Amino acid sequence: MKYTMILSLVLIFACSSPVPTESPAVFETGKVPYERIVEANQDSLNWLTYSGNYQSHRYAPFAAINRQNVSTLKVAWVYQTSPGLLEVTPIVVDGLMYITEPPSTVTALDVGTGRKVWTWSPEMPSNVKTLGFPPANRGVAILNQTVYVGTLDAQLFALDAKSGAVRWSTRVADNRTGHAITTAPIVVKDKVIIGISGGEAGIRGFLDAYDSETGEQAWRFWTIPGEGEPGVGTWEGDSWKTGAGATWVPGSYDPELDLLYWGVGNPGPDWNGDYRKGDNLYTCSVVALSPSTGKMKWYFQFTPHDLHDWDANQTSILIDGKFEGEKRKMLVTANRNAFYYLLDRETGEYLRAVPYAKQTWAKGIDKNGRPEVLPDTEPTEEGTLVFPSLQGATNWFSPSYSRQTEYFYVATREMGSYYFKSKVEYEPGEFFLGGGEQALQGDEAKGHIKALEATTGEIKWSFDLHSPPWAGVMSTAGGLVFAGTNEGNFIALDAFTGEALWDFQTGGAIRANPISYGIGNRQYIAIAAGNAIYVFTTEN
Amino acid sequence: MYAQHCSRCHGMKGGGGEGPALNRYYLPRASNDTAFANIIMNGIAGTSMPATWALSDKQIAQLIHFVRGLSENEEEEITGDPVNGLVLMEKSGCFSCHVIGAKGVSIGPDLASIGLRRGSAYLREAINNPGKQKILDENGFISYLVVDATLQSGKTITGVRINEDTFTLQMKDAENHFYSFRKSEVRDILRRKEASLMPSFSDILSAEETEDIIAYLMNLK
Repeated sequence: MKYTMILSLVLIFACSSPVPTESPAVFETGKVPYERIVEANQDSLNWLTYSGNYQSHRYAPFAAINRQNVSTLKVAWVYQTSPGLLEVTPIVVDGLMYITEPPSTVTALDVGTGRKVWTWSPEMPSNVKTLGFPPANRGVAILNQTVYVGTLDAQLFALDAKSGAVRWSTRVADNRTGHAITTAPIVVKDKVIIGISGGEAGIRGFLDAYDSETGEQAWRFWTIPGEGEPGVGTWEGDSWKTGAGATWVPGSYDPELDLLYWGVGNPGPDWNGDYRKGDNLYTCSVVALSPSTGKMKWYFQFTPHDLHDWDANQTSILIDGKFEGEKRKMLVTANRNAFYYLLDRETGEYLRAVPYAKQTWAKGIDKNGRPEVLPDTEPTEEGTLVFPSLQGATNWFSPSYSRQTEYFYVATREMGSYYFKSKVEYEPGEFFLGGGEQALQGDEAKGHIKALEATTGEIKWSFDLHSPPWAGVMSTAGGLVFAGTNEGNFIALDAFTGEALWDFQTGGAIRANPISYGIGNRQYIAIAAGNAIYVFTTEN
Repeated sequence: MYAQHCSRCHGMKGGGGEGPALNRYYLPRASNDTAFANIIMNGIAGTSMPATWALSDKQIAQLIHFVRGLSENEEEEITGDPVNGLVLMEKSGCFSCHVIGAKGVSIGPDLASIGLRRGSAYLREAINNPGKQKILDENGFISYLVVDATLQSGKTITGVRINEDTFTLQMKDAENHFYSFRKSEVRDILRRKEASLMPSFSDILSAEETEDIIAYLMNLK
């Protein structure tokens, strides 16, 4: 069956919705060649990659659910997963939804009913190490007819998309040293790109690429430069060897510039910088790499010599627009350090940074993009109160860019922490923290969904949440923003004004990102909540 | 060990963070050391609490000892008469708001096994200055927070918060009536962080009588 039916259905929507949906190209059903992911912007029926498209917009080009009818949104089906923390972003391809269940199980579901089609679980050692993070998995990637998943014990598996049969597997790293995989992979051309966790275990971080057909390693980019390499001088002595710099959140890709953008994690040890004097490149940076070779074209460091675990493992969004009257290809990101950054993504040139949440650590960002750090904000033995908390003004959960409103939406955390510093010695496979934190949570903390004008960072609206969230947002062509809360509320906001138009109590904490897909002319919204996948739709 | 393994989520001083506070007199999931060791070794399914298989039994025992010591449970000699304490509690109306087993009404905290969870200094302060000490739930929210909910009609309902999310609030009043509101349908919600529905007994009970009640409560283990 070919994909021709989509075109006619989309045309129906173009007439009934305020924003016409673009017409998609035709691809063979059930197959996801690279070119199809490149054109994901035009595909309203599927969710082909972690953030919806390579530019990481997490924007659904589908307006069947919209501001007028969202109040009638109802549960279509629920799938109960295995116990554990559910942080998955589902992938949807031509009738099948691919999810991961804790810790590293992959399950394919029928998108119409939620009934299981196949499930696959790797053998998992009972003593698997998860130093500094919960045993979660954030999803799979698909290329052609193969599904790719990283496992908690740091292996990469390629599964047949129709059956779950293992095509190949490879060991990315040794879990005994604290390496683990929680991130979803990204596929670019013929390569599977996979990041690594272990930033609290003193690993030397990297980003890997594997041949999608054979599983052979294509390249490894070390996020911490080694002996004789440029940048190693930003680490005192041998401290680069345990410099951390994990890559645990999927990156973004620009097919025209052929550049892959990936966020790099915090330096190790987290809170005691005495062991690693210097700027500690490329921690707390975004790096632009060639997806063919892994060679770095440019980098930008948000937080030099970080002392608060403000990693840059947030999703960077790629937008084209005018910055101060000039056309630019930009990379925009709300960093964990509470500043929203605009960079030129061709060159890495710093354009602007503005705070988007409460912060007490920097006077501002200077004209070169370097923070002007305030005195007395370092961790101490007695504890130093700083905003944002260790968990950041935002975190791994995804922001969204609406091509309709041209706003950048982000779930924000307004919470302070007392940061403590202590001595630490590196031991392989053990925590390498050098301190701790005590967060001001509960009634002292706040959460928000904020809309920023993407090209300026100006806050256009803010919606209050009961507590600092752990769930991402998705915007849609229906003029909506979907968001979730720790208390289980799944919410639809007016993308233009921030007004709450619909909410549903899922009964479990939401710590995942929403997606959208379609069956015929019907739009569905999916979100992981508690130990379940919820799917919603309206009566058309 | 604590700084390296626990502090990231539970806070350096056990005050909580990503994980619950541990500087409490009573840890519900770790009421005894066997249960505590099991949690440290195997984690807690369905939560962020990871397994920590790499610690030896001796190290786990040391860690448990350290965590138990984080509570501010001050050892103090109990001087009062517990038998008279129960009589005074009945006479003072404590059971119109508190439950101890088959006795009482469940508006305020359940006092069964309170001697395990709190110290005498805490109880003394709670009787004389209720509302001054805050009990935080596992997410850091104030338990028994006093809330005034003003309805559209202008009527105000005062009670304690049971639960809250972005859109709704559940509470109960001093008569133990349960209410659930959509926040958008309520005119105003006032959260009184310093208040308590419990009156102060500092002018009602003598210091000796207060000690008798504390003696009774500290025996509830």
